[in-house]
Amino acid sequence: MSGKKMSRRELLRLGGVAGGVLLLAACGSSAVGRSGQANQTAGTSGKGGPPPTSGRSGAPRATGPKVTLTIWNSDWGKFYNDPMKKLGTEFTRRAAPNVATSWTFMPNLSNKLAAAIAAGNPPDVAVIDEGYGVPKIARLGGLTSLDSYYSKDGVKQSDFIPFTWETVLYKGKPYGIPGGAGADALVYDKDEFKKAGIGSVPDTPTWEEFREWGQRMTKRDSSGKLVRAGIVPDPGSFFLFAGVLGFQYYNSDRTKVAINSPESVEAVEKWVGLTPKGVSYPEASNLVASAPNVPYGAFGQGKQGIVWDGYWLFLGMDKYWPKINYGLIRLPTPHGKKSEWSMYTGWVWDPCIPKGSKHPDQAWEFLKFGFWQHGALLADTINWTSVLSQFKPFIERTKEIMGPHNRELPYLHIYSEVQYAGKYFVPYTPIYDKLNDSLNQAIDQANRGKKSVKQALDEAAANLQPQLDSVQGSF
Amino acid sequence: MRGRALDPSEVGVRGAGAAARELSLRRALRRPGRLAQQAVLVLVSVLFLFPIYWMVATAVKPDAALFVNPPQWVPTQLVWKRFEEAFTYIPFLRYTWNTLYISLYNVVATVISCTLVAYGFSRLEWRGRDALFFVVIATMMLPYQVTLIPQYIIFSHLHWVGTFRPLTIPAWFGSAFFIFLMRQFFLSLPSDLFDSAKIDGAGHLRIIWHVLTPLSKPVLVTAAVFTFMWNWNDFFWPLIYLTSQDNYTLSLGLYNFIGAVARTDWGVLMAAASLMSIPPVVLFFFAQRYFVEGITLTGMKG
Amino acid sequence: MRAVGVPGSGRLARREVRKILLGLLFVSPWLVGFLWLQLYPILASLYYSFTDYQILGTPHWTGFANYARMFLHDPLFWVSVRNTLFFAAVSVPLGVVIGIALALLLNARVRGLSLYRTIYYLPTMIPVVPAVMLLAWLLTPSIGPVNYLLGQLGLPEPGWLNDPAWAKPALILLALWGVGGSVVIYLAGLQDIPATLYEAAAIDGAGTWQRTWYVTIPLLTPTILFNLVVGLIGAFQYFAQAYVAGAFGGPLNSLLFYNLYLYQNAFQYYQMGYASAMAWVLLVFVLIVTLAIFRTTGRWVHYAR
Repeated sequence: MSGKKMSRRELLRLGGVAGGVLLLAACGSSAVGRSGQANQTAGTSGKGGPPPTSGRSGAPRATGPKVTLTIWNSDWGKFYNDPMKKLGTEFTRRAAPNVATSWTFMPNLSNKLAAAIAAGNPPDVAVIDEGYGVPKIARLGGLTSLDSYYSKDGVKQSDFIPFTWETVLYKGKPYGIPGGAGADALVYDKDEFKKAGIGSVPDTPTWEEFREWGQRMTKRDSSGKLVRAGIVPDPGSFFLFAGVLGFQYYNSDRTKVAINSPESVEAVEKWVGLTPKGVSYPEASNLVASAPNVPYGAFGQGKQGIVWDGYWLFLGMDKYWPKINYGLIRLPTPHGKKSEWSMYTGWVWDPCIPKGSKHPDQAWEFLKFGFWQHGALLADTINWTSVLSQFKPFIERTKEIMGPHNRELPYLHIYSEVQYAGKYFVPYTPIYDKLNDSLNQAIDQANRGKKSVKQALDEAAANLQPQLDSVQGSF
Repeated sequence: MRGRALDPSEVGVRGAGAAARELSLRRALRRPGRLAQQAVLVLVSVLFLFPIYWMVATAVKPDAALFVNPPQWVPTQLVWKRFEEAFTYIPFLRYTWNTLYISLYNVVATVISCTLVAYGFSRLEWRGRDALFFVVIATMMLPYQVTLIPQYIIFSHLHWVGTFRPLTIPAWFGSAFFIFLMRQFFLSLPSDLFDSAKIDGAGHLRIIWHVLTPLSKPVLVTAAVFTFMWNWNDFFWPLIYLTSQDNYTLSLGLYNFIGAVARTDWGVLMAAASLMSIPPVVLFFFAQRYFVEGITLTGMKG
Repeated sequence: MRAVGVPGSGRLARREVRKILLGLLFVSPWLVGFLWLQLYPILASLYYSFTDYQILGTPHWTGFANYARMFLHDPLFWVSVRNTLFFAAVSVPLGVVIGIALALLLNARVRGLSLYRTIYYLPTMIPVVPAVMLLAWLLTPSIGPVNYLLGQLGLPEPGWLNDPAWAKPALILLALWGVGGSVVIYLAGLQDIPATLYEAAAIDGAGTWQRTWYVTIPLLTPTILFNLVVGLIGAFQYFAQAYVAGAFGGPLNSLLFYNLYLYQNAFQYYQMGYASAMAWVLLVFVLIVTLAIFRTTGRWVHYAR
């Protein structure tokens, strides 16, 4: 969710990219064949799967003058960027023969976007990969409201994963469309779990079970040196667990910072309490940092007992840890009940139309095509679609990408269910990135035993409250 | 004199030449301290060179040898594929070309503009010259942050953000630092040469081209070499002004590489880092004299 | 400066005017750049610093609000100040001491002087981004060569860039790796010390240490002054190394240097007004520190020439 740090999301993506390179390298020329095939599959699945609305015409109409949409996209590395371009060619081929797309991939996109809007030369579409990039720029008056487009074409909030919706809203109106989404599952090594005497592993553990596993998976060698840390509660991951821990970012009308409410303090205490007993957080954190800097390096080398990641983890697992007999389960909930799945959360990135776009109508058509009607096309970018009705074709396509014997195959439903049910989200305010930074800082201080959780959160809240006061009424 | 070590024996010769003094100096030379001194110098050399060695060694070690404990100090097997990978994973050639373009453009524009400006501040006599030159010196003290934001807004309104222009065009306005260096140098040249050229009826540009530049080669080369280095290494301005992969410089591309493929692959990362370091190091070996001279000039006159 | 182009007297000879115009013509590249990309921006940023300016839209005058927020309500600002001052206070003096020590070692009659000089200077040729990558790789906990050696010596193995307490020391090490630049300057400074002074000291029976302490160091003070000022200004403008190190998981805010925070405010939070105020505070601070140093020079800098 964080705009700047994003360490989690980025880290995950790294896994994907590295794996992607493998895919490309391993498949060699067949990678090209793959993508060719992808077009077809996506095409058929698009027709076969239930479209979000029924009012979709089949044949593309060549109407209007020839235009080229300029699209700025966050830079995800070549492996992800190229399939995104394909989203454009598919749009031209199947929906708008007169509209071509031209892509530019850039890191820190929102930084440059605001200046471009101010200077009057923005792109027609911006795909912002930052938690609250859309409301951030909309608040400055830089984005086109999509309200009328949404109602014209019957695009509804309920079409999308619940937790994604907040990220496109500004003052209650949509200024973007939920793009690719993600949620995490717990990853564990089945063999190592058995060795540690953890017998049955439920699909949804309770928080207590989760903590207990972390303890049991912690190992020291004969000389007393820590060789495996069960769980490392890094600050950057906290937001994934915030919902199930009952953490509150703000009060209900977002006028007060609530990260130090009794519920929030308890939540963070539970999080910090995941560090196994008898182990210091720096000790565990350094151990993990000493692993090879490859995806799941610490997990793969047996230095970390339990990790969590999005569905793309198969890429990194396949490349770097082909022998590990891993399993996936849902993140813990307080009591491991299905009714608690709504406490899950995830993240999303959002395409939007900057003010000053030269072809806003065509830009909307593209958004509608790629991120609503044909969300399943995102499978080729290894990003989960936000469109609920596209889950089925998306999963079909993902299975093809994974191959028939992939270790992750049996677990895809976990991601699907979590994203379908997950309703928790980090509420937006203009100070969201500062709040995130301060919260991370507070958790880090508590982890390192520099301050008590309450003290760290109280201080952070005291610093944030005036900032929130100063922006009241502007979001 | 500069660049040569002070020779203690010279002290004796230059001085009164008292034999006793010579003797005490010679004795000083024989002290066991000499050995310790060499030992320290060698140790420091190892400390300074080891990282560079480690960068190259990492690039050529097989994957399996990268994450072993204890570290493999000397590669037992050499692999060269990482250098190829550096070229295939990232548009290395593209970045190199961009960096080279920006660096050379800056070299040419900086040297030309600074020569002209420094000529105006040194070999021409005019009222207000020195007052204005004081302003040049004053701007050297200015932290770039103070001009950063308005400059960004200016360039952004010119639609220059995302192009090379914010990184190249300003070079035509000269750099206060080199204007200063060149002016000092030009002032130290004998006036007769300029006077006789003037008597021969040569115009200013002709004088600059035929009299000034041949004599000023050291300072011009110093300016060129440093301009090249700074631009080759620059990270901040490309970060601010370049937007797409296509116009990235090596610094920015390599940085981005951390976040993409390379973070996961230290071997490739070190291969790319080695490749990027080659041009400055080579330049350094060829133009060492000018580096030392330039650094010394800045150090002494500052 | 206007007085230069439009002389008040009006009685200037045509020749004089032509000379001025010719001079201005030659310095015009600099003059245009100065007016357009320096003078105007300085004034503009001063104005912005008193406004709420979020790049889109226009600046709104808010008086001293940015400054008040900075000093009174923004703990991150103080974090960045502390980080920067810590870095400056440790790396600059260390750089001076090590730089002088190496230069002294090299200055005596040493076999292979030019080779050593080349070796010491070489690290400064490694560009920032590769250098920081290399740093992160060398300092990787437990499998990096540095921590391995520390472990072998029975010393604690810090988490370096992974540990808030050790991230800055890691960057200080990087800065010291580049000390060769100042070694070259000190060497040049040493060469300028008249040999006769050593001679006189030797007559008085001064040993090596005494000569160093009473002759060399005092006469080196102008060079030290220069390196001190340049080093401090460099530390106050520290950016790229910290920014790149952050990509290796730099722990929270321990690498938030002043200019990093300024950059974030300007280009991430779009608070151009606030960032401009930070820039001006930096300018004033640098001026004060520089002036203060020059004020004290009378007490410790000796100009022999």
